[in-house]
Amino acid sequence: MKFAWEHVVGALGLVLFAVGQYQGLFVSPAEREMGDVARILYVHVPSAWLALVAFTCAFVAAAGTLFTGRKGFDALLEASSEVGVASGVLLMITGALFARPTWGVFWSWDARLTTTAILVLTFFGVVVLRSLVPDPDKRATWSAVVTIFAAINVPITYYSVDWWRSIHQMRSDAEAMSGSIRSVLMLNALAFLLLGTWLIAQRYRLARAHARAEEPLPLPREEAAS
Amino acid sequence: MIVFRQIGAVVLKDLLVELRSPTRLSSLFFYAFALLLMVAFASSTTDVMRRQAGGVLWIGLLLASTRSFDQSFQAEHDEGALEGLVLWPVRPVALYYGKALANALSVSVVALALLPLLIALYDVNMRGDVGQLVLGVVLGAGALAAPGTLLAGITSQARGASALLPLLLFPTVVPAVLAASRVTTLVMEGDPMGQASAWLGVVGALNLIHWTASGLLFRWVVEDA
Amino acid sequence: MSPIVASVLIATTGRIVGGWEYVWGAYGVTWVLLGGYALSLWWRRRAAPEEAP
Repeated sequence: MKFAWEHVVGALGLVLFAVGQYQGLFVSPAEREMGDVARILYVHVPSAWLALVAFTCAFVAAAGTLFTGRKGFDALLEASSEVGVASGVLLMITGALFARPTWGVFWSWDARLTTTAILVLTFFGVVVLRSLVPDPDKRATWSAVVTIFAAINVPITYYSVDWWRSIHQMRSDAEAMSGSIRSVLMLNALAFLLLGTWLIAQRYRLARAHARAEEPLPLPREEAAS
Repeated sequence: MIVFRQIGAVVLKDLLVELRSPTRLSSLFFYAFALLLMVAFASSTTDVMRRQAGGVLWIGLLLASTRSFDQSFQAEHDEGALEGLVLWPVRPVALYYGKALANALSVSVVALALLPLLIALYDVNMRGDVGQLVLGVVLGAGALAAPGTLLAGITSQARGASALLPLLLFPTVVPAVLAASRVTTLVMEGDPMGQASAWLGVVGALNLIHWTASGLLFRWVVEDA
Repeated sequence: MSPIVASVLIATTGRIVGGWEYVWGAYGVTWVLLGGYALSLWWRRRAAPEEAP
């Protein structure tokens, strides 16, 4: 079997993840103002970065599909949109669990949260769309179109909602971080990104396997020769 | 230019089909109207209703127009006419703009018909500028129709994916619905701080972005249709 | 911890005290979601058709 480089990345990520999570839970000191609840940031912020990376990957893959038509881009889109949805959901759940004890509400309709929710929803739509289209070429093209659409939508959603909310008073959420907290955060972030790379790579291989299974069988030799 | 004539032809075709049996337009109207009624029943006080009127209009239009956009491609698919349209030298760009314009027109007409009903039923003290109200409605309809037509082009071709259109469309039109309902609500309240024109600008910008982007992307929706 | 005690603690120490149930909840969801997704990938790859070299 071909050497799967992502297993090295994944193993490293797992080790760093274990260390980072342990540090986050037990070793790192409680934050000055937010206390122990701030530990949630060690999973919330990395999942946000992972989601960002996955969605950016998806946008690039979508552009690649539309402009080159190469199947690899479609498989990458399939993989990164699914991983993006997973980390997006994680991001929103951990965010809600952080917001409740610190700001008293599970959710607020500020620009960042709203845009994130919409982005995750859109990519969920892409995943569902892909499952409904049997033709591989159309599936690739259409999910790429929807993804590009989503990309355009991100800045305009963000600015519209931001402007809407600025008219109402919104709490600021500036968080100053001390050095030791930052290093634990970076450790966890790196772990998440490595694990995420492993997940995307594995999902990519799965996508390619499915795509190959869909290809029509080659003509028998006699027919091709005559 | 030929493209403009093609666009005009597609718009005319869709409107003629609609005028012959106006099921799409009337169901669009009644679906949105039903929603207006139901939200009115669900509202606790008249004051709540009055403040929500603008938003409710756009929720109703959004839900109703989603079905309408999907149906706008139905005629093509039923007779296999989509392939025919694309093969015959109608450029995908013309097909898109024609359909999207027809859709925008339908939604505008329905919205304008709903406005007096909304104002009456929701006890709105219409103090603002009617011109801004109408402009907001028309621009909002355009901002819905542009992405809606593109996405409906996809979902109508994928079997069983019609139910998917809301999931794909709603996240895309959040800025449009937000801005359009802001305009409507502000104008209905009399717009004391003069913000309506700014939000009109937002809807206008959204129209510009969506009509351009969707027009560019549509060729990928119908290639090898 | 009762809300009254929590408020007093916040007022005196200037920080939010406790909330460990939220922390464990967040970490737990993270492990379950990431682990579950990885597991689902492993299952699906086993069921997938043979890959060409």
